Amino acid sequence: MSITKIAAVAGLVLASLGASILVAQQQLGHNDAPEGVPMKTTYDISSLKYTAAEKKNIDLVVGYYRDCVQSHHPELVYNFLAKDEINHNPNDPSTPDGLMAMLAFRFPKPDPLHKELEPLPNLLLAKDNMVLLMYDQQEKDPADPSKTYTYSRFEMVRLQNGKIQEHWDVGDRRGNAQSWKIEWCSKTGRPDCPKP
Amino acid sequence: MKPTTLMFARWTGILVVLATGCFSAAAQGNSVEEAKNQKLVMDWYREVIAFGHVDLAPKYMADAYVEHDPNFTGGRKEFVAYYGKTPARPIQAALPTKPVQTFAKGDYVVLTWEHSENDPQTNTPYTYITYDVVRVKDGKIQEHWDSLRKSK
Repeated sequence: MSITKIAAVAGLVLASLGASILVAQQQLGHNDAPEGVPMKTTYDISSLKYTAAEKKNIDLVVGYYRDCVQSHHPELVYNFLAKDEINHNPNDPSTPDGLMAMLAFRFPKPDPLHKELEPLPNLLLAKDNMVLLMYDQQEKDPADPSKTYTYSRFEMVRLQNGKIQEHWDVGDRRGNAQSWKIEWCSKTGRPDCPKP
Repeated sequence: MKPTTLMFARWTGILVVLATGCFSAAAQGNSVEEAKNQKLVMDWYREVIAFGHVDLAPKYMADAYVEHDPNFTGGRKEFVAYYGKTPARPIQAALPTKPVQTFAKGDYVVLTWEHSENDPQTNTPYTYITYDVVRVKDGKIQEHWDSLRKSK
């Protein structure tokens, strides 16, 4: 085979390879997180585009989890939560004061403020006044404790007048893992405790 | 409180929660695509899951569907095997229980549900929320996550 023919074949191979890569890229789409939204790219998030108002809500929710929940700074709670915020978790106190008292009991020494959420959510959805965070979570398999499996953990909030007004997570009482919260709250005599 | 009053209060509470859920779903500004996705997910949930018509799974779910519920992780086959254990019932126009919240963003649709059960230790009734998150693309459901943990 002449050098010209080899060059022509190589050119064709390279061109078809380039075309395949382009097609594959178009099919996959871009999967970057929307700018300024702290989330992993585990799943296909190419369709997520947020309005300025939704981004503002995301910033507030991220700030709450980062500063109050993860860095353990309960004194900052009203930067993020409305005074009459309702917490719907059946194991936790239903008010921000109660929730922060529980957090201070569990983590008496605050961390220096973290720079970002850790871990990042595997999915962060915001629509109008709602924000949802989904985390891939690992735990021991109840059928075989030598193994772990992955499940999804959720946090969802509703915002109103620029503050978090309501919060939901899962918190069913099966497995009894969160019973310490109910016991702790009963001992404080707070009026916002969950019914044991 | 007498049991009858308690039951009345509880049902009133549930109705209020449902009405709020319907209102918030209707008030949201969905794009045409998001509205389509939300309707597809609600029809799928009603026909295939709530009334057990797994024979309709291919109508709604992609061939490459991915299931993340840890109790039947896999694809459409595993989904059909799991929900197919319950015989199909006649499909009704409305869901027996409505979600508390529904919203759609991009390819994603979120549903939350309120459940009541008794505390395993004290037998006191309490309520909690479960989640479903669904990803839709090209008119078919591609992926589903929920908040269920693995049971033994």
